[in-house]
Amino acid sequence: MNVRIKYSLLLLGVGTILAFLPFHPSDSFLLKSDELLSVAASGENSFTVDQVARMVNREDSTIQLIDLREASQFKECNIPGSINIPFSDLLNPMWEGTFNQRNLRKIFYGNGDQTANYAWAIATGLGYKNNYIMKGGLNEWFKTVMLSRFEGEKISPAENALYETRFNARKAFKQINSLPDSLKSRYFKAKNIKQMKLDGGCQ
Amino acid sequence: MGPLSIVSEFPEWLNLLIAFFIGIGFGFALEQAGFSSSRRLAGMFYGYDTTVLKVFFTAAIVALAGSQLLSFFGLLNLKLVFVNPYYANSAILGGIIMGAGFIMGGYCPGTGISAMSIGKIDAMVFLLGGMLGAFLFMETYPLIQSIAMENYKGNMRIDEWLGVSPGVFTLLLIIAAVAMFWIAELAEKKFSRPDITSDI
Amino acid sequence: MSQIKSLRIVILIVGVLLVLVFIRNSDQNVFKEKAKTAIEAAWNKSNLLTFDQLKKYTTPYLIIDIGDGKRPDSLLFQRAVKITFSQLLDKANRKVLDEANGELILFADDVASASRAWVILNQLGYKNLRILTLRSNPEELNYKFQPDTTARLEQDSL
Repeated sequence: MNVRIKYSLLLLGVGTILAFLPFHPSDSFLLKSDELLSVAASGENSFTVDQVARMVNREDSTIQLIDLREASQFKECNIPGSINIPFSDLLNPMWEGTFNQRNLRKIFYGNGDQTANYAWAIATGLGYKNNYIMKGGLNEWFKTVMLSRFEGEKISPAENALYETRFNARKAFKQINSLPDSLKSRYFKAKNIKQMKLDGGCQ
Repeated sequence: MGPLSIVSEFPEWLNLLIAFFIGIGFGFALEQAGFSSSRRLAGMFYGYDTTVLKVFFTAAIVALAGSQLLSFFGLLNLKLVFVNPYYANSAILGGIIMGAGFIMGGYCPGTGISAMSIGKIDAMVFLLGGMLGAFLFMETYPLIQSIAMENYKGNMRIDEWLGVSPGVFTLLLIIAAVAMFWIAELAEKKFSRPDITSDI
Repeated sequence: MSQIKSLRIVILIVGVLLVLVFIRNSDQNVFKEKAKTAIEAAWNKSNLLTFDQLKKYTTPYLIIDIGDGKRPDSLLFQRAVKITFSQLLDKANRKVLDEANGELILFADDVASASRAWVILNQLGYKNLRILTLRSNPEELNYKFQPDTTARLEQDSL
């Protein structure tokens, strides 16, 4: 039989198998379930709000805070340096450039703990490295960083440092979020464009 | 050398080295298939030789089916594959200009370099023309930028656009390719030019 | 017959591929659901269940208590099994999950374990899976930010 017919039949056969594949891995998690579970249970993937406040004050460039709330909530207030990736938009290929940086620590937060943990599990399952959550979310941030006051007679050096961190983070948070709306939206737009995937690849 | 996920852990120099050897292999294969002759590419246009269609389409569908299978078995992360953003205007206009250049010159950039490396003078002129074109493009880019950037469609994929799974799209493309090969063979018989093809 | 004989190699390759696909598909450790399904279910909060809703349940259900072992054996619930989060996918535990009758309801002291377990089980294809929460909307902001109109970036940075 003609060799070309053989090749054609082989390709058609493989194509038929592909058309009936039971699942499509590019839409699903890359990690195996036991791998994901062992990372998820290890408990070494969260930061407290005080740790985050310290990194915000330092303008740490090895972290990226990711606000998972809707754009309107994000606009009202957010932690300085964060970008807005609404949870419903998490799989948009536009964010690939942010997620796919191995050495960048991605810190998810929402108002509470739930959304951040969903996002953490999904991002980690999809094979992205270095994902964290901010424990307690914005509610905890408000409670600890924005509203806590030192009460007592004598302050220890450690406490002093802690309260100074909180005070500085509080100041930055207030300044950024008190900007007029027009300036804010322009600032966030510029920041989001910077995060989008860079063009590249084979032309 | 993504998107082989294991390979992406390699250091930069090893990536480049692998690319170098793949490049040599590619050039060697092109030369062996007779693509260093401008008559072969022109034959595609006139119908007396459709090797180009058969070779490149086979390469595309083999790569497509292979990458999907590797991804199914968890050996390849398809998310790392770069999807070229689709600028409709540039794609159509650029396609026409490039196609015209292929017919007139008888080479595509890859086969042109392959032919140049075995000392074909027409290929050297062709590549010189290509570089001149690239130079002119960059110099006049501000003037044509607005046209080139129009109708931006984002990172579009045909299977998503059609609303079918990648596997079904692969099957459709394979069926289309096999049909085209069959028609191409018929065309080769109809427009045969033994005086040219016996030379290549 | 002679045609089939000459196609032996083609049939062999396609057959081997088919077998490999079946083997891969029967691997219980591989996630097969689309990641999108988890996002959609979590987004419209159809995966949450409050205590009040649970009290009114008439259909069968099984509570999976993902405790860390500190709490005495499932004081709270009658129809509950206790599974430590890190052992959620052990063979015996998966059997419990697979054979459960009716809805699976996840409960954990910390939201993190429950949400992560939910994502993992959802992506493994478990339907009828919910998280038991204390509040109907745990993602509500309890505080309101008051913009400070006297704060000006320019002044401070000078």
